[in-house]
Amino acid sequence: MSAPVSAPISLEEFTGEVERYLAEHYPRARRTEQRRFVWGEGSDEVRVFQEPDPEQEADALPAIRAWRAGLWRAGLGWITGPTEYGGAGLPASYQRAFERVARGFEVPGDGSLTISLGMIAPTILKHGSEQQKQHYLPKLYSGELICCQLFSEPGAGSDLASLSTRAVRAEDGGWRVSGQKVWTSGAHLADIGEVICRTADSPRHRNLTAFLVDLRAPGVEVRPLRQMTGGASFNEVFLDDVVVPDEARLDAEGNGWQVALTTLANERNAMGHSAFGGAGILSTERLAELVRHAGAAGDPVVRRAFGELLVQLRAARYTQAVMGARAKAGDSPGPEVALNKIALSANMGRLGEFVTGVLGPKAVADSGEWGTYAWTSVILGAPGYRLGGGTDEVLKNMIAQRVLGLPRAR
Amino acid sequence: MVAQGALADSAEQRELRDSVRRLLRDRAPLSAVRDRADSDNDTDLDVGAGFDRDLWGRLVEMGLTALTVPEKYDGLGQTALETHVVFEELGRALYLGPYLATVGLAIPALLRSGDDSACADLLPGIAAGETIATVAVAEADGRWDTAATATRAVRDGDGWRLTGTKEFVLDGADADLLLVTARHGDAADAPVSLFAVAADAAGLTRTRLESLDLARSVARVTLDATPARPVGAPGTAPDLVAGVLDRALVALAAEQAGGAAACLAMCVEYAKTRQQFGQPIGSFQAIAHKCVDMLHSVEFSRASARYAAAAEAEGDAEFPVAARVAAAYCGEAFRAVTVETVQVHGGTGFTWEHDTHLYYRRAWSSQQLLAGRDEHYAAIADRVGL
Repeated sequence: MSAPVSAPISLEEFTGEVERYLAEHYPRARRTEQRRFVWGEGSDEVRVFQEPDPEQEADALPAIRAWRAGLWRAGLGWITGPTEYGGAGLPASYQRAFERVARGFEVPGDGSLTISLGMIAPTILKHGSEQQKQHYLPKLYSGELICCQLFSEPGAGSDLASLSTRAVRAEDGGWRVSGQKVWTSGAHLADIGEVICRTADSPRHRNLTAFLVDLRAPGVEVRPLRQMTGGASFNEVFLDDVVVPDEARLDAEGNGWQVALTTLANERNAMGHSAFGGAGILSTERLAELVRHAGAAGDPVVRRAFGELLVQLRAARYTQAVMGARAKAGDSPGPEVALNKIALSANMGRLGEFVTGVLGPKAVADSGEWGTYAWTSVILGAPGYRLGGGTDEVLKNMIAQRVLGLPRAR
Repeated sequence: MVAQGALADSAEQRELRDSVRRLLRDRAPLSAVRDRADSDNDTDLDVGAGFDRDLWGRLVEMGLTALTVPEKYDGLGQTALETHVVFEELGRALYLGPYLATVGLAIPALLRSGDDSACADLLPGIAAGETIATVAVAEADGRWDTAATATRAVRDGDGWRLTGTKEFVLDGADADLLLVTARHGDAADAPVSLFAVAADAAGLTRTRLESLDLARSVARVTLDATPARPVGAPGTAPDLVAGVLDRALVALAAEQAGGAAACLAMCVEYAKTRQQFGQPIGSFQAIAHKCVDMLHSVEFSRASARYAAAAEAEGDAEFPVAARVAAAYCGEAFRAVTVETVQVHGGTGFTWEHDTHLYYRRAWSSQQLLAGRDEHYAAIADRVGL
């Protein structure tokens, strides 16, 4: 086994190390299969939201955890992270190099850990105490702990700051948490949850506090939430007088809103950057094949619509690349990255329009033909994308104020 | 894959951007565009007098006409990334002059002709800013497509003579050098070649047309047995023109992105200061969300144009698609932004005195200038292999 990666190391040496490590542990991806979409082969699933079968999801978890644990031991578990918390302290270009090399291997990927890694860990890095950072960050990046976020409530959606889950000081200096959270992804797998609670009646935005709550603790109940697609990608979480020690408080009492904003910014960044192509949903070749199989490749109206859709999809891709190049390595994402998430949501809608137009009656009922009715999960899932991680409208308010400097409504 | 380093301004590109922006702010106020339209009807301007020669001299001093000319032809040997930065700034300021024609059309045409002797004769003068140049392709139907070329090229001793009419020629009335497509003979499938025509050649007549965009000069050019010099091998004009068109569209996309950015800045400023119902109108979501939509258009336009320029500079395989994505996205985004710019400014935005209509005119005109969006959509479908 290779020695853990440590700085200073050139990008070239690093890439070599990554290559060596992955080759030692994982088979190489068969390129042709990975790259080319072949009509009628394999699954025709094109989902906007992952709706895994709970058993399959649980079965996949050990391999994902082993993947993370192995990377962590090899010094590749947190490439851009500070060395004092077990990171490799390398620039973002090294992270990209890692991703590039990893695409050439059949690796389990981060799967159910993406929220832990993409949203919660950066929040702890920014807001956690020294002790929390030492404790949680290695455990999150090595896959030992899984964390989810518990923000939205039935009565607090866009107006998140009005949430009513309460954390009350107990006599022992700890807290008791009670309330109901909703739209929680991955709560059924998570060990801990970042929970935003009300700890005072006022003032607004200064009366919230964030906690890292043990989801195995008594009083926590997790139930799947069925969404309009018919599947369940989220949970409802009921908290009934859950005991939370003060050491689990994230940042100061009253700073919960700032903590939530950090997590949300990372969420939007992750959503805007999400490959989404995991299921090949935005693959040009998949769309072109659909058009060909529908016998519409010679139809100038369809060709025009196809070109128009591709302009939007490619412009979004180019913009992500340009914004990524502009941002300095390691910077947390600026508020303008929310535009990527808005664009992706809009593109989901455009995709649905285009595809149903091509499918015609084959979108009405499942004829059994490969690659046709499966697209209906895109039209059913797309509305959720405009809502999750901040609705289009809330994001526009945020951008108007924070990017353009426009005044708030009185 | 385009290299990440090409997608953000280098220190030198930032410096170039700043100096072009500063020069245009000081020397090319928007009021000059309106003043010119007020004092002279465009069409009354003498041939060759359509732009500020003094300001052109300053652009030349900064090396802007030499950027993409190779060093062996006395240029600076830079790439489409440097001109991208310049075009974005020219678009922001609605620069009125023959830069797009000379640098966006004529230089790529000469370089892509592969005609070393024509390049050696013509490019040094262009790089030095002494030769204003343009490319004339479109005829009666206005399309940049050599299939419709009816202008005839006829041999005359050692040389050639051209006869025909070219329409919508960008800066045609001010150019010293016109690169013109013409057909060898009467057959519809006869080869089409590119020719160089000097502005003072016999039988050449140029008429400046009234143009929708007050900062763009467009001319009709008629040739009557006008002497011309072939550029490139006979029959190569169709490929050459297609290649030039893609590159010019990328330059135009950068201009459009810059113009949209200028409109957004005007709108945000106005939304912060204009008071109605006792508060700044920018505090109303109806206005604020319009401004955010404009920001969206601006950011995605700038990025798409940048990506296409980087793909061009690096000879990336994505270029043919990226060029048309940038053209379609930036053209439509700029048009939509200018529509909302008038709306955000209310009645004042509908007046002749305000700058809104200058951008509005530019946007609607630019979207149709070289090719329209339906042509881009069709080209993209072709190029991804549908």
